[in-house]
Amino acid sequence: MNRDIEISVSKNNDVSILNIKGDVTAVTGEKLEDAYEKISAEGAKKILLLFDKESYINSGGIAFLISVASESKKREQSIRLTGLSEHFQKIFHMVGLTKYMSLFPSEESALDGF
Amino acid sequence: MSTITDEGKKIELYIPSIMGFEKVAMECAASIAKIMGFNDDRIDDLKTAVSEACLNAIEHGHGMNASLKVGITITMAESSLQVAVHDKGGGIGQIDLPVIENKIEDESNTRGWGIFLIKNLMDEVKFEKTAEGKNVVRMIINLKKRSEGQGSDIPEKS
Amino acid sequence: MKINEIVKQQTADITKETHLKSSEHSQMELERRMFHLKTLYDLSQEIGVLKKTEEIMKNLLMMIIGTFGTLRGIVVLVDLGKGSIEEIFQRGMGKNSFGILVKAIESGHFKELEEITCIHVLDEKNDIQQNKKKDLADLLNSCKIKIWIPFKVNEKLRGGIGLGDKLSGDPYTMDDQELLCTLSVQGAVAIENSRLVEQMKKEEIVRTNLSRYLSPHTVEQVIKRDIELKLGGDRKVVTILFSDIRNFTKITETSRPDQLIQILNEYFTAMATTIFEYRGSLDKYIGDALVAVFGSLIPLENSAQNAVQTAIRMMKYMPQLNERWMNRYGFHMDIGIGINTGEVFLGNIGSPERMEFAVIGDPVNVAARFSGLARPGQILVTRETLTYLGTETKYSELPRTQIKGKSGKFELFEIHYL
Repeated sequence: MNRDIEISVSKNNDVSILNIKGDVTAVTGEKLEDAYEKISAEGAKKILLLFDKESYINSGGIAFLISVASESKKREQSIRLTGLSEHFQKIFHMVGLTKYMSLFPSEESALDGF
Repeated sequence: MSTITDEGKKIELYIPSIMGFEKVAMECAASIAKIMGFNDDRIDDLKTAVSEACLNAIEHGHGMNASLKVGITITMAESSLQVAVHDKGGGIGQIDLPVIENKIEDESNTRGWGIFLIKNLMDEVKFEKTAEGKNVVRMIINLKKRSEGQGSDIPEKS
Repeated sequence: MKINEIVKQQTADITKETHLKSSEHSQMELERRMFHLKTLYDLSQEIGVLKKTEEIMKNLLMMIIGTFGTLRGIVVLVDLGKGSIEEIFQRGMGKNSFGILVKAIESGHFKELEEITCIHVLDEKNDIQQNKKKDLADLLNSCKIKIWIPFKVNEKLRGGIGLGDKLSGDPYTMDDQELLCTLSVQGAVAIENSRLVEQMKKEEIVRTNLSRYLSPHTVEQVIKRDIELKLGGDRKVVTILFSDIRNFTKITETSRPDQLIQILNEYFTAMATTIFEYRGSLDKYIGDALVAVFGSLIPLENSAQNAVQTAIRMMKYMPQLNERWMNRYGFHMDIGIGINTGEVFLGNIGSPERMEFAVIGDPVNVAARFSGLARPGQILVTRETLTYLGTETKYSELPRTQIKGKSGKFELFEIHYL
């Protein structure tokens, strides 16, 4: 059974960080989208999506991330990703999300020079 | 503290003594019972009892005189619902299954079965006659406690 | 010499690189297939759990968008019978494109879209359209849909899934088409299942509601749409049949409660069966009295005729019932029937889930009175009812009578049935 998603927001200077724990699916993905909308409304221009290595992301969840990616382009936001397992890094790459959001091996490297 | 006054917990309805209107009273009582959290089976019981009481009032209390109105008063209490049906008529007479002889226009033969039903379906039934000569049938159903697994208690007002 | 060595070295390097690339490639392939398998599994889990059609379609769309990585996607369910869109969901389509496609589907283009038996891929390089499908190609292109697959839920219900360009920029491959096919079939099956469940639930509600008023056979006919009921909010001329037990008090005195209930059951069943046979409906029971209505739910040409025939049949059947009861319990039942025809208010005053069909009006009162006046075995009808009866009906006129609660005297007619 799918676990629910847990999202917490934190900040590091001018970078808004979305800490994502749990499963990102067609059902839970909406919460991720909502969290993104919320920080966007607050004026976030630099966003870091910090995933959990145990997170499970299925295609339904990816559909939400695609929306987020597309919106971020329109809003001239910059999104970075980190914390994904290798498998999901490959999936994100295959699906083309990495064209919109850059992958980083760690939180530090992601924040560095953001 | 209860923010609803006693008057605010009473609903009054007057229907013409025409057959069929008892259904309006039934639906009204059912709506209140639903709001209070009675389950569907219990609500069906209430509807049947209200129907019988109203029809009795229409037929026997008022002799189906359309100009006379049957009154239904629905009162919400903490954990029970009371429906009182009153007519202006001559009365039920004996409350138990009647022993009156069989006249052609004898009304009490059907009355008995209706009363039997009401008594069996409701938690409490009282037959009263007011000072003005009105007959009142008071029917009460109780919400069961949570532990008995039926319906839900209205939370205690502090 | 050196050049040879350099070339050799470079060739070796390139080969190594190619090997690496191909194993990397295989690895990617593997990961990709695993992801797709998980998608199929997740999809079956999510939409296999019985949900509403709406939810299934939304989830289906999301899963497919996420699988292929597209910005735009649309899923539509069309009722071919009604020629209308049942459900439609889109993501990232943009108002214009969405509007164009909806209009096209509504104006009948769906039939054409449906004719695509294979997936239609629109790509300058990969175009597999035939000439006659150019209009379709143009339509889909104008909505920025690059691939379209139709699916079939059942005879009447057809669907379609359309996707835009992939984010990655890659074209749709044969593998993609295969996967899309599989996903759409899964979706179709899930939709069909959920609709069947929704329908069963609705039918169950209808059955429960109507069984209070109509025979089981009629109820099934209603569900199958063989009969259209008139549910209401009407003023109509109907015929009311009121039947009660003349010696009920006596019976209650001499029988046990369980016997009483048994007898009432048998009596009501016999009455109800006869009423249903003549296409009447049950209005209510009042204690031991039964009220039936003719011409309300089921339209009848001559409701009075049906009601009287019911009464006659019932009276003719009573001796049989009475013999049974006499032998079993030592008593018999005397019934009196009153019939009146007049205009009443009709309608469902409950809710669709819990119907409360009401027949309201003074004509009901009068029928009740007539029933009260009827002696054991007597069928009394009013002047109104009589006017609808044909010459074959034998009757006699009784002295006019005052009716309680009403002014003036009423004409009384007794129907002969022996």
